[in-house]
Order: sequence, then structure tokens, then C-alpha cells
Amino acid sequence: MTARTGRDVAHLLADFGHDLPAPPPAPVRGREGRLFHHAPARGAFRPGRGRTPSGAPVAAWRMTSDQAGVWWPFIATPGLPPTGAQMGIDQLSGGSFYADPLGWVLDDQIPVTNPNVMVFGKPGRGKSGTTKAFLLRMMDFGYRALILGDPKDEYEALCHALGVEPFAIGRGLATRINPLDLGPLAAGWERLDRAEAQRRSALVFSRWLTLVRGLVGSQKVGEQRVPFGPSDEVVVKTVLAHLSGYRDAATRLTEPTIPQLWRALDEPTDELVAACRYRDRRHFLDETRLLRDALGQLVSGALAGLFDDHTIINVDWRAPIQSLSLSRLEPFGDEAVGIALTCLNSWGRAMREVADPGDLRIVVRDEAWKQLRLGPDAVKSFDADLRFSRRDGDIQWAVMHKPSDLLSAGDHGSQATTIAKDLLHLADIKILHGQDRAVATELEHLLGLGPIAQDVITTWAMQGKGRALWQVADQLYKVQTYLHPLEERLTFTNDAIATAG
Amino acid sequence: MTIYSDYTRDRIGWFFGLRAWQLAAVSVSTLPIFWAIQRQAWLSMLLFALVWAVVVLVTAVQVKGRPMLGWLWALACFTVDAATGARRFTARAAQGKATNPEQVDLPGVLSGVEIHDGPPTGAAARRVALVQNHAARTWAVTCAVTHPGIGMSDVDERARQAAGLSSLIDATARAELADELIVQVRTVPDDGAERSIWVEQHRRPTRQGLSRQVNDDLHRSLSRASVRTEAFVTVVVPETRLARVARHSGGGLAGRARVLGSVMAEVEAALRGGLGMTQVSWLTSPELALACRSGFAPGDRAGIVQALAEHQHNPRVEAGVPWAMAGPSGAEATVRHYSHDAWNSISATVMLPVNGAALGALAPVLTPDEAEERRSYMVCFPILTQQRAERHSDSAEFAADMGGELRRRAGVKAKARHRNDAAKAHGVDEKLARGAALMRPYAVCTVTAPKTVAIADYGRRLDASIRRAGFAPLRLDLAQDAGFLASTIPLGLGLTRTVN
Repeated sequence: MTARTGRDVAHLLADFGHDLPAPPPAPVRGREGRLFHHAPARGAFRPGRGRTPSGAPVAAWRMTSDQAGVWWPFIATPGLPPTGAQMGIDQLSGGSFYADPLGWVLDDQIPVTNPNVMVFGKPGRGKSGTTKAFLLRMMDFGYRALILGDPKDEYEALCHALGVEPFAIGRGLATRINPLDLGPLAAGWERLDRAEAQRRSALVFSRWLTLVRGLVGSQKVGEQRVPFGPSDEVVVKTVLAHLSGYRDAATRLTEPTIPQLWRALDEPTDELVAACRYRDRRHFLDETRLLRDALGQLVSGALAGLFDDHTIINVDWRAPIQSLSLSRLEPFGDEAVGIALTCLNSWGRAMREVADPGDLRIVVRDEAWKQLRLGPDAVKSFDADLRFSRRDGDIQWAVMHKPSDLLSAGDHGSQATTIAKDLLHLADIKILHGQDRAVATELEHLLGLGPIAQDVITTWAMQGKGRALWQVADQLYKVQTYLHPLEERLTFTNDAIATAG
Repeated sequence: MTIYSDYTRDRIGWFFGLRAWQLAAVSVSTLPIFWAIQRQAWLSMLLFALVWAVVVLVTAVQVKGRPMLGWLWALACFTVDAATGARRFTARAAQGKATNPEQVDLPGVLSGVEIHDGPPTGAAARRVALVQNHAARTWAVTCAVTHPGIGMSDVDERARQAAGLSSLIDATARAELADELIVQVRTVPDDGAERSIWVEQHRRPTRQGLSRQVNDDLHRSLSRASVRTEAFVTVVVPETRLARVARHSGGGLAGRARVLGSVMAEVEAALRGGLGMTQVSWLTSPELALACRSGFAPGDRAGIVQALAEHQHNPRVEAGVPWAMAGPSGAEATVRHYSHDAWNSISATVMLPVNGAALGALAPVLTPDEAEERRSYMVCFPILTQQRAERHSDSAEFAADMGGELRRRAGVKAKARHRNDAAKAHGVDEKLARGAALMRPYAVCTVTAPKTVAIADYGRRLDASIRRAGFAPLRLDLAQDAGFLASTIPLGLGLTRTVN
């Protein structure tokens, strides 16, 4: 409203030096400029302009939107990024298939949260070929391989091709491995500050306890596993703290061995008895009899002379591959191989506890099911390795026959079985080679694969070597692995029967 | 498994398959015969009967998608264009006449295209390319999409995917802005460009030559044998619909960009939701130019990708594709194929089977048979407005009823096919009432191969693939250029659109 008398607010404020901002000019609403100009629908009728001579007689159809599926265009699963090892061809999309577990973890577009790989497959379907091809191809990109237990000497040819001599473990051989190895954590202990020493000791003691629990738990009394309760844990921890010198705040830690541990338990000092709050020596000996006897079996049993002394092999960690052959343990049965695998796991973890950034390693566990049969504590040890893979920058690569191998860890519904089943969820990457039809149900039960995927595994994958269904997080890829002629020679595992043909 | 079979040809004549003008021409041409009979001029009657037969042949008989008259007209245009040199395309850049590198220079039906940069959007301030087609008077935006595929999906999952596609179309129809959705899938021989870059960046110096040799050999052999899939979704909005709404958003290009932005948001939500796309990336002008250039010349992509990678370290490396060079440097349409740069292409439209087809049946069409060929598949969903849909439905019902009545009166027994068509026509009305959208989709497949090989062989294999999938191919002869451009270049070109 215009003021008829007096001055308006703007004038009043102007007297005090405040000028009100002027209102913006109202936009002039005119006719909108032409955005389009004429263009001939088929192009200009001029030489060199590529005019379209006539309309295309496309076959158009009339339908409602619910029938759109008849034109469905998105058939192929898009390939994974071209990073890592080029493994073969994805038969569904026709694209190259690349495997890069650590790269997938780092890529937000791929819902993989850990670099653990589990390979399943009937013998002879190409499990070891795929594994060795992956190892060899990743070495070009700075990865190193650690074969933690090669029960059939399958990796020997690959090691020799790479100029590395595999370590053989067995009766009468010089190789000794101490599963209670301190590993690189002991390096420069005398210069560590208090906080770092505590952090490292926590890592070491945790690993030692996991190992001893696994080894003791692998022994049986009748049908029952030897229990390893909290009291046993206190005893073992106290002894290890004493043997290593940690209790006495030694400048450098001393590396214990299994026989030293057994001896310390078998001949307890009064100090140990008191520290573990037992009434007297007799009470201690009575309460720890099972524990002592179980450890004694390891010292004097089938594996005597293998894991009962300080490590004497000198591993070149800069070599492209290191393998520990266990084929000589085969006469002692699966259990002996399983115990050896557990010891090697602990040793391997020790060696990897302080890995340099960028020191990428693929840790292969062949015939991993043998370790799982040792009971819930062995399963827990394996579980711990899978959980730490992301932290350590390792690719944990476990090879088994079929998913139900994990269920052989214990009785139906037992703790071991439950943990073992959970292991499947700790591996976001599963490679499923050919299986018999009988396994189809467990594929559905354990992995939740649909009928089409089951059919691929039980038919297509059975019809050729190296064929596998790769489960990368929730995505499935039907992959044919291709081996280079050089790799074919390195991965040939039928030497024994080759002459029969 | 769901079989989709509830569809009819878009244009069906209501009397013996004849449309009104054809029926009129055939009817009128009989009058002189009756006149001659009345006059008992038997020689004249014979002559008029001959003329009538020619009229029927020319107007009523369909040969490969066109009536004879249409073929004659197309052939005449083709001959005139060939004689005048208008059929041949030479890029201005190839002639040294390109004055503005950002001016689009594309042949034929794409010659009226202009590209604008949209306003910056999102955290990365991407400026999505707005495609303005002056000839068709439309606007389009294109996104590159990644879908997890249906290779391992079970029946329920496939049904969910199909429902996702339907709901995308329904949502687009309800918004009443976009009138065409175009999906393009290109299955391209893998040029190994990204792989080479990654290997170069990640290879470690090692004493082990074995691993390197294996990787190099595999890269050479496997990459040549493998393919890569590119998929694009283009939304086309006609100016007649956009202008009205854009006026309320400020008008001009900016107003249109704002409205197109809301259309993109709706489409993206449906793509990521019901269709389960893992990636939806609306293309900027440089990305769209790359998609166009690699569409015309698949072999050029590796060099551009390499340049893009080098550009990150060295800004002096020019990685972009100017729009003046995004098209072919030279192209020519022949009767049976389209020739562009060092490549030849053959296109065919897809005829749906009467018995219907399952979701994913077109898989053989998208899988190349030979290592060096590229397959492109385009499906266009022109969506009718609710009013037009109801009008079409009423008209189809009327035509079905009328056809039935005429057949009854002419004493022609109604066959099962006729009864099915009538039932389908009546069923559409019910589906429309339940909220479904009516559309007139079509699909075009194209095979592209280097000029060093015989393209006719690849065309035959494409036809065989379409037949193997249970569909029927119809070569787009005399319009091979339009077929190629629509199926391969993601600029929102529709082949059944009449200029608004």
C-alpha cells in the first residue's frame, strides 16, 4: 500500500543510513525462444549426408506391460573387474573370468567382505589344477604362496618349476617344526615398549592356547574328546608364561616346545601348583592327568620327532612359494595328518603375524577336512585363521571334497559341526567343482543353491575338468578354467595311473 | 515357467488382415469389373480383372514387412539417394570441414541430434547429457546399467524380474512424461583394454618369468575368445509433453533439464528397485560420445580407454571424443547391410512367436557365434497414454467384433486364431482397468563384423540365432542404416515414432 501522508519505512531508514534493498525486477514473461529447429526426419537430402532412404519396417506388437518379459534383454551376468588372475571363460556371459579375492574385498561394488576361498569338488574334477593356476598367475602381481601341508606332494612340481625345494615332514627326516614358534613377533623384543610387548604377548599366548586346545582336543577317551576346560587353560598359560620367561619379564622371550610343556606339567614345581591354586602336588597331578597324557601322546606318539623340537628349517619368505609336504605321514592315518595340519597352521600363523604391508600371500590348506575331524578345538583354530585373513592380508584357500566335509567335524548338532558350518559363512568365495547327484541336497541345505545351480554342479561341471560354479558373495559364475600348456604339465596329478592308458 | 503370449501385431486389418485404405483400394478397383460385366464387355472385364489383380498385389500383399507399394517407394527413394550421393555419409571432420568439435555430426535419422550438458547433479556434480532430437522433437537421457543377469535365477526370481520391468513401464506410463523406454544391450568382443591397464599398473618386478609368460599368453588367447556386455537404458520424452511441464520449472533448457532430472530419478528408482540393477550411471556428454563412437567402431574403444587411463596421470593426453568425431568417418547404406568405417552391420527385427516365449528366451541372439562379431539388441517400449490406450483397446475390440461379424456374414468359419485374437483384444481392456499400461514394443538385432569378413555369413548366423531362440527374423532391407543406428547407438532413436 502506498503511504498517502508522511514518509514510508524506506525513507525513515534512509535517514539513519540504512538503505533497504530494492525488490528484484519482475521477470518479463515473454514468449519462450524456439528450442527446436526444423530437421528432416531422415537426414538432409544432400550428397555426403547419409540420408536414410526409407523407414524401417519393424515388426511392432501390441501388448500390456505385464507381457514385457517376452523381450527380456538382461541375460548375461556382468563380468567381474579384469583384476587378479585370469582364470578362464564365464560360460554364461562369454566374458573372461578373473579371480581377485583381495581386490574384491576392496571394491565396494562387489559385496565380498573377506578373501577366504573354499574349493569343493569330487576328486579328479580339477580342484588342484584351479588352485595351482591361481597361485602361479597371482605371483606375477606380487603374491607369494604358502602351502601349509601338502598331503599328496601335489605342489612339488610347481615348487620345482619356481626354483624352490619343498620341505618334507616325516619320520626319519631332518625337518623339525615347532608349532610353538614365536615367529617374527619375537624380533627386537628387548627394544619393545610395554604396550607393544603386551600386544605381542597377547597374540602369542592366544595362538599357543588355540594350538594346545586343538591338540589336546584331538585325543579321544572312548568316543569322547579329551576336554580342555578353563582350569586346563590356566595351567597351560601359567606354564607357557614361565617357560617363555614372560612371567619373569625376561628381556627376550624363550621359545617353548611341546615336550617342555609336557615335562613342566608332568613334574610340576611347587610354584606352579600354588600359582594354579591347587591344594598340593598330588591334587595338581590328579586334576591334570588327562591333559598331560594327551600332550604325552603327541610327544611319544605317531608324530614324535616332527613337532617336538625347535624349528630347524630356514624358510625363505621372499621365495614365490613354500610348501610343506606331508605325504610321508600318510601311513599314520588321517588323524596324524590332521594333527600335523593343526601344528602347521599355528606355525604358519606365527610366521604371518607381522607381515609387511603389501606382503601378499595365499595360504593353501589342501585336504582341510582332515584337520576339521580333530574336534571342535581344531575347528576353532581353523575358524580363527579365516577370521584373521582380512587383517593379515592373506588369502586363505581351503580345498575340500564336498560341503558336508565340514559336518564331519563332529556329531550331528554338536558344537564342532555348528562352528564348521559357520566356516562356510566366513568364506565369501566358494568354488564348486563337479559333484555327484547325491550331493545336490547338501548343496541346497548348506549353501542354499537353487535348482539351476545344483544342476550345473551335478551335470555340466561333471562333464569336464576345470569346470566350476564360482560363488562370489551372492553372485554365481559358471566358469571353465583354462590351463596353459605349461600349467597342464605342472598340475598333472595322475602320474600313478598315467601308464595304464 | 511363465510363457508370455498375450500380444497381437500392432496393426491388424479388421477384414482378412486388410486395413481400411487397403480394403477401399481393393473394393474400388473391383467396380470397373462389375461395370464391364454389366456391359457384357468381356475383353474389358478381363483387362479390368488384371488391373484389379495388380492392385491387390501392390496394396494388399505384404512382403517382408512392407506392402509391394511400400517396397516400390522405398526402392525409388533408395535409387534417387544413391544417384545423388545423399545415401553416402562422410563426416565433416573427415573432409576437414568440422568447425566446432562439439557439433554433432551423425548420419541419416540421427542428423537432427544435438547434445546439451545438464545441470550439475549429485555429489560428483555430474552433468548428464541431454539428447535433443530436432527431427523427432524429443528429449532423451541415457544411462549405462549393470544387471546381475538371469542365468542362474530360478523361476520365482525370473518372475520377480519380469514384474520389475512391468512396474518400470507402468510407473513411466503413470508419470505421463516419457513415452518411450529403449533398452540396448551390446555384446562386444573383449578388447582387453582395462585388463592391459590393470596388469601394467600391478605387475611386480619378479625373477619368475613363468608366471608372466602364462599371464601374457592367456591374455592374448582368452581375451580374444571372450566378450563383454554393455547395456544402456534410454528414456525418451516428447517435447509436446515436456514443454508444458517445463514451463512451471522455469522454462527453457534449464526448465526441461529439471523435469528430465525428476524423470531420471523415477526411472533410476525403478531400475535399482524392481529390476535389481547393481549400477545405474547416467551418461555425461563425453561418456555418451564414447558410447556412440564405440558403437560405430568397436575397435576404437581400446585406444580411448588407454587414453583415459593415461589422462589421469598426464592431463596433456587428450582422452575425450569430440562429438564431431563420435560418428563414423564414412558410412553407406546398401540394400542388405550398412557399412560404417571399417565395419559392416546387418539388422533384423524380431517377430514374436504365436505360442509365446519365456523370459530370457532371446539369449542365443545376444551370444555371438564368432570371436570377432558384435551383437546388439534393442527393444523399444513405446508407451501409450491412458486415453490412447483405452481408445486403442476399444478400437481393437470393435475390430475383433466387426471382423467376426463380417466373417460370419461372409460365411467364413472363424478359426481358433481368430477366436484367440478376439479374446486377447477383450482381455486388454480388463488389464488396463487393473492399472497395466499399453505399449507397442518392437526389437531390432544387429550383427557387426569387420569388413575383412563376409558380412552376409554373419547375417545368416544372426537369423539362425533368432530362429534358434524360437522367434522369427525379418531383415530390415533398404533400411539397414536406420536399424543399425536404432539398435546400437544409445541416443534414443525410435523407429515407429511419428513426429509430434
